[in-house]
Amino acid sequence: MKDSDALELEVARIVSGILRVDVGVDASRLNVPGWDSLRHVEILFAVEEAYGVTLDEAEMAALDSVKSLARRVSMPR
Amino acid sequence: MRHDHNIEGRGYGLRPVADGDAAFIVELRTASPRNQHLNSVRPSVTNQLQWLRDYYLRPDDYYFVIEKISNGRAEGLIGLYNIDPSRLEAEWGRWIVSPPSLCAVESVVLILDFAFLRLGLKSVHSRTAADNSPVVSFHDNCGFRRAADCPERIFIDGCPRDGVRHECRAEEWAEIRPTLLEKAAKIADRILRHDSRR
Repeated sequence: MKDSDALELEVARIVSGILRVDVGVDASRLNVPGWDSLRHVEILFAVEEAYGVTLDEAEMAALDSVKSLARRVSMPR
Repeated sequence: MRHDHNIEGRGYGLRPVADGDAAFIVELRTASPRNQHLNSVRPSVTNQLQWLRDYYLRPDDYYFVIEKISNGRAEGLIGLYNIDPSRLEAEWGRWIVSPPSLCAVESVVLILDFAFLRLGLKSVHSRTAADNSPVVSFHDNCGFRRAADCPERIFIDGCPRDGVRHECRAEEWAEIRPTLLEKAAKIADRILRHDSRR
């Protein structure tokens, strides 16, 4: 099992790829201007595909940072 | 204007704003974290009802509530207005989405489909405060073209602000639409699946 730091770095790389700008593990919709509503859903679908998880509607709205996404994908499926 | 256009999408739909929505409009426009980028509304349902009475008389103005189809819950607002029937142009905006909602992408697809496919307009534009970064970014990422004379001055509550004008012609929409529609459909499938489990 990956440690949480490694997972956060992985998720940050996925987010960076979608946003086409390097972001760190502290990135969120609040502090990255390009993380808009459209990119948000692209990020969610990319994370789902990368980790084989399916996010429900409430999670899709709430998971708005690298750290929260990393926490979610580290949970048992 | 009073109209009867109900526009059904996959996960969300647009229905005409009515007097019964006044409290929702006030709540949404005053509670939004981005309300500093909108013309303010007086936090009063009575004032909003007066605004709606004026709106009903404007022939070039369509104002919609964005509703989730599965449960009819109002999740946002969007409008198409300043319609120029000779040039077949209009502005879309008054767009505000309840923060937890996922209706943003599909609501834009629906309002632009309404403009181009139902009303037969040739061009639409939107104007956003330049410092409203997430919304400017959304328009850019959707593929809407920044106008050549950007930035332009916009007025919010009478105060001049730098604004960003995005434009979209009907032929551009035909190219942009499939990508946005695909994303809207994926979101809709997800929320429908989620709702069916409840």
